[in-house]
Amino acid sequence: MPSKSIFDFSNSGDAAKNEETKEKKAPREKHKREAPRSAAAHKHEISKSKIAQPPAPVPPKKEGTIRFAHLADCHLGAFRDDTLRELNIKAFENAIDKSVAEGADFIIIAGDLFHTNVPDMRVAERCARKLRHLKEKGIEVFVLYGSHDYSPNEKSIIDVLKGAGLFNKLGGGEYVGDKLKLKPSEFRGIPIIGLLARTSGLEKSDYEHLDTEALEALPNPKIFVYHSAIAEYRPSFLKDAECVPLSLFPKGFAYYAGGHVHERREVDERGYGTFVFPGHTFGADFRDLESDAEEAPGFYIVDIESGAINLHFVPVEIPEIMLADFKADGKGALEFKEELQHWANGGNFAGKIVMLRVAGKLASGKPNEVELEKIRETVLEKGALVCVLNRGSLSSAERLAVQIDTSKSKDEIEREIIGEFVSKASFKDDALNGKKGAELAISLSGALKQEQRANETKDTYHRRVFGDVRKVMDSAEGQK
Amino acid sequence: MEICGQIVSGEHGEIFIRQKSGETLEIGEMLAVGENPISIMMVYDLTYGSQLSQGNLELASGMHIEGMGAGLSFMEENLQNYVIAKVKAVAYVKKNVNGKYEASIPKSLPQFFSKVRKVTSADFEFLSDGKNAEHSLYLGCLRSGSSRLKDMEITIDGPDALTHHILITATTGRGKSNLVKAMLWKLLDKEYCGILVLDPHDEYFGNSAAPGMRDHPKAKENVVYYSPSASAPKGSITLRINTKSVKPWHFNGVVNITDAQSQAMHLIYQRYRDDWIRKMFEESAEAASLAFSDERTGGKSGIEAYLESRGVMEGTFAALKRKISVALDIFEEGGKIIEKGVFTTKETGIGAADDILAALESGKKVIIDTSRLSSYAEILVGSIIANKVFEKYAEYKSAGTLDGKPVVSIVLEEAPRVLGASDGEINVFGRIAREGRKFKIGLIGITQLASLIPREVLANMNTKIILGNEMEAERRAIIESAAQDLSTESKMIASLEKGEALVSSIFTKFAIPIYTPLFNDIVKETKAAESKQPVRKYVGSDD
Amino acid sequence: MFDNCVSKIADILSSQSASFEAGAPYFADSHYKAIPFDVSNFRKFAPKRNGSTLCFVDGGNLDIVSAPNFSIQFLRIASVAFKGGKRLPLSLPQRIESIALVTHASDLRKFKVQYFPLDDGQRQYLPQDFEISKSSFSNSQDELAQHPISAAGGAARKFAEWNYGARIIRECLDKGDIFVRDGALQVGLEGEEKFATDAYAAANDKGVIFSGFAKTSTLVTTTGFPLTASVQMLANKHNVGGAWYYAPLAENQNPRHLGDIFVGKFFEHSPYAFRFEIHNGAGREVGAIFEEIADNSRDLSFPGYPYGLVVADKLARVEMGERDALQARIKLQLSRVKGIRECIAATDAHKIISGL
Repeated sequence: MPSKSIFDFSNSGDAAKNEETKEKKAPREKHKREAPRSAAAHKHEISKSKIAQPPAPVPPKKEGTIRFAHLADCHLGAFRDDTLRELNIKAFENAIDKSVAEGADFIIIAGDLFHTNVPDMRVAERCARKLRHLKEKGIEVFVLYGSHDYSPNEKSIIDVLKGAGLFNKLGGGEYVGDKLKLKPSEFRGIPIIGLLARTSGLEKSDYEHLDTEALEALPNPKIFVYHSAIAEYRPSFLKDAECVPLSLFPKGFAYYAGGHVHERREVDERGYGTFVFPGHTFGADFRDLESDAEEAPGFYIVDIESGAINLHFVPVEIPEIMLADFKADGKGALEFKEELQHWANGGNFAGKIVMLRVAGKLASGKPNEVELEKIRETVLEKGALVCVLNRGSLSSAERLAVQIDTSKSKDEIEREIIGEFVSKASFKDDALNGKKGAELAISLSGALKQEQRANETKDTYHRRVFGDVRKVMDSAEGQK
Repeated sequence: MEICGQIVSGEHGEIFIRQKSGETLEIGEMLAVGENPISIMMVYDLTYGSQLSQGNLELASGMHIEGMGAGLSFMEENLQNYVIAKVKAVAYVKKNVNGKYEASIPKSLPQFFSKVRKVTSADFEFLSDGKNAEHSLYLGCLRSGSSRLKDMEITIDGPDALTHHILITATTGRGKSNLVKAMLWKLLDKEYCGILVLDPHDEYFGNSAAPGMRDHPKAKENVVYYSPSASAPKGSITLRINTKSVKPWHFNGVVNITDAQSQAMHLIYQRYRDDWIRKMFEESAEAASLAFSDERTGGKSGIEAYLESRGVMEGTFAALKRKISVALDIFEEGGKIIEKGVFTTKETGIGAADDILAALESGKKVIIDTSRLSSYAEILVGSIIANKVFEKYAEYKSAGTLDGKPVVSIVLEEAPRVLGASDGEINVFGRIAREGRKFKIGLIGITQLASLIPREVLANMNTKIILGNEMEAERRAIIESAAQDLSTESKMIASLEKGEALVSSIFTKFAIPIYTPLFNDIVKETKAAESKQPVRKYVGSDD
Repeated sequence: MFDNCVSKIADILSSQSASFEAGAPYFADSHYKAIPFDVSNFRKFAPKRNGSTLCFVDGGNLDIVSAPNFSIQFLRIASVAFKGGKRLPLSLPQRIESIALVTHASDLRKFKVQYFPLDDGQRQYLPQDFEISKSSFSNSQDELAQHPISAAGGAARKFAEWNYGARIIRECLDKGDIFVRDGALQVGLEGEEKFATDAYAAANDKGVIFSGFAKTSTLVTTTGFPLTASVQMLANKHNVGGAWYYAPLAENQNPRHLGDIFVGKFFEHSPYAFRFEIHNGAGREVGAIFEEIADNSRDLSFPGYPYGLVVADKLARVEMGERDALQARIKLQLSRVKGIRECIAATDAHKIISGL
């Protein structure tokens, strides 16, 4: 087997099967936790923390107030795992139920109600049932195509349900010349305008041609519904997403009901109005569930009260999510397996969603010798609703025999050797381990081997080297 | 072949050509001798020549103007009085048997008494010989004196020139920004480089009154425009930078920070990481004492107490905070954080620096309107992005993947502000000037006052585009650091009209005189060539 | 002290000029009979005839390398012609260039002169090689007097000028055209007369007016005042304005000087008047000839002096710089001649000294 430097960061083949992680770009830093090394604390888990303080309850609806619920990114039909798929639907149903309970006059679903445009019919049926319930209660629903349930020829489940009269579809409009004229819907005189999403942010060009003047001329309060990331608010995990800059949005809407970004956000934007992303109702992938472990997902109840907008975030009820991180570094496959087994045997997983993440390099043995499937079985036996495995970064040191390729440059060889040594060593401080550690060593040696420049005084030289070293250390600290 | 003069004397670097009567030679004009090989020469000075002695000439003039010269005139005036052009040979071009040009710096004199002609575009075919059009960097068309050889576009190799830095110098009104606009315009559909423009006059993107990059057919794909203004044109992104993107070293050489303050800054950063600036401002007595109850000293609380426990002198924090406050335009008033500029401690602008980096990395041109920013804030924004690019590209270099990345160049107006001599730490721009080319990062410095840029940096800017400049000291600074010997061109530089320039680069065989057409004309030309827009269809249109 | 000296000198000169009027042209040679000044002898020019050609000839020579036993000279004769104010190209070469070698003839009282044209094709425009008495170049009969060998180069040039002039007249000029040589028509050298006679004959044959224009004149008046100056002052005194010519100045019986002498002012505001001579002047339309020359003398470079002569002089002049180059080449060639170094050393000591 060819040697592989730790700088080669591609996942091992078996990790690719984990479909839950396919959308994940980069795990957020807060989830990177170090596994304690003492025997007593081999396992490390974060109990579902939700948020420290639950949001204040929604005040009762006042007379004369129009109240609506703003949901987005329900992703019904997501997850191949039956339990997770069911939990997802349940979360949606819970959101709808809560909206009804809070007295919403209408509901906006700002895209990606479904995970695909043609979902499993059982999922569609569950959703239709809920919508029918709303219709019976006289609560209007406004739905916008999202990037997942959009269909270029309007053959989406959205169109079926709309055809059945279960909701209003937002996003109507047409090009007049070079201008996109959107057709407003309305609820009791409140114009609701939607700009539908397309796959891969293709809707951006629609924004570019949007006839904003006509929209800005509409009377306020008015609502703009969209399903796109906004450049100025782009969270760091949506790195490569196509974003729409604020300047392409029509100005002066009381409320901008967003979707697409699976992270809750409220911004009062000067010159525009209140931009709100409610985040997902349950999530559609591993990363979403991780974030759910930290903060409960939910939706917004919005009151329009004599022109003013009041926001109330309502969390949905989902099972407790338990995150468990294990580091394999320096351990043998059997030793690591035992450690996991020990944890699984002793855990209380009843009614929980368990997310088990294993990472690091085994000192000996192969990843499949850890027999993660067996661990998962144990967790399920112990009452977990579901056990999600993430073994993407588990690898074995046995594959790392470094061979020096003489066709490589001195620098490359140096990097390889440093990489090899760092990968074999194990330090208390994680910043010194793995790729990070090797990078740090290389950066440091680079900073320290600088020579004094011809026109530089000793003092300046000293200051420069010192500054560079400090910068290297600072940025290493920063990544921890 | 039109003869315009003849070589009559001179030496290497100073050849005298007698101008043919009826012809007019100009300073800066290009002349040629021969067909193959061709000696290309440039006029750098003109004098009168006469067969008559000075005394005689004065007498003759006296007779004329004192009224005693009725009936007098010069017989055969063309023979007696004429113009002598001082020229220097700038290139020696040979076309070899397989049609390839070989251009070299002239080391011999053209044949004595050679007849001299004006140049044609054909004489400069060697300039485009073997060039990769995809990698070209447009500068204008060839110029000979004040005449323009419009069909002879002058380009240089972009990746080379950009990484070896470009300096554009001129006094006001000589066409600096027109040139930069033209360069950017022609670069917009080139993928080999990402360009970051820090635009303190908000002149490059364009608006309804003046065209700019936004009028380019490829603008949507390849131009990213950031402006802090809420009334910025559509498509622009609101410039907002989260303070999480700001690191202590971004202040190096930007804000004058003492060693003690620097130490304090790093301590705070180590403690709070990305939140270090927010914490500095948010710090209220209560929150701080909660966070540091174990490190409280003598009634002090918060960051200050923490710093003092680490040996930082009293007062240092306040001074540091004041400096950072001014630089970031973030102030604390009555317990509230007031953000007046583009830096924010809130939830927005988190990805801005990364987005800009990503755009540059994909060969886009990023224009940042800094017209409403304080000078500090502008440089800080630049410093943050430049640091990001530098760090990223250094990473690519060590990973061996730098080759596939586009060159990144940063356009700096009033370059001496950031490249000027300073006693303190060298900022990131100074670093790029000195070692950026190893990482495929370059600068395009624009200035009126090249003399304020340290010699070492000037010498590192290996392409100089010299527009008109009547300040002798400035011309001297440029000429002394130019890639070619321009000692005789000083006068010529002083007399350059708007749009006319001289390009001296280590990537050109000689200092090439160019003319950059008016940007508005370039825009019109491009627009005329543009094809019709496709018919658009909206998915929701059937509804 | 210096001012004092100069002041005294000025006094002497002014007393001289005060007495100019009392004078008359003075000729030491008995072949001339001076005619006293008379203001009525000033004449205005007459309208010129149209269509005639003016041709000017001048020559220059310079000693390049010399020793007491030889002199190598470079000589150049040039012509320029004008018609209707425009230069008129002639069918003859504009310049004749030749090396002239002067050596001692076998008869040691004579120098031998040989022409070596740079272009063999020009041999035909040069005189035959000749011998000339050394005494031509010295007034003294003293055997020990200096007979500078290099002076014989002047003879080589003068003969060539006459000879070339004659060829031009024969081949390029027509009736009514004016030929102007640089200098007076007087011949001084042994053997020169023959060339002059040939040239006059050519002029007479073709009806060409043969003239000489002396840019300097050593003629004086009986009071010792320069002749041309005296004529000018006479004109000033009697308010003779504009351009004019003055004649007669003398009855000329000199067989070696076949020309009528005039003094002319060719441009009104010029401070210069010149001696101008016409061969067989009597009976010619002298006024028209003067107008013709005056018309050529309106160039700003030297108003009142024929532009044609300026050009001819420039064309013919052998510059010092040119001499240095020629000298180097000649010396290089001569270096293979035995004893040449010693020969040259006999006379070039002053060069060494002035270089110190």
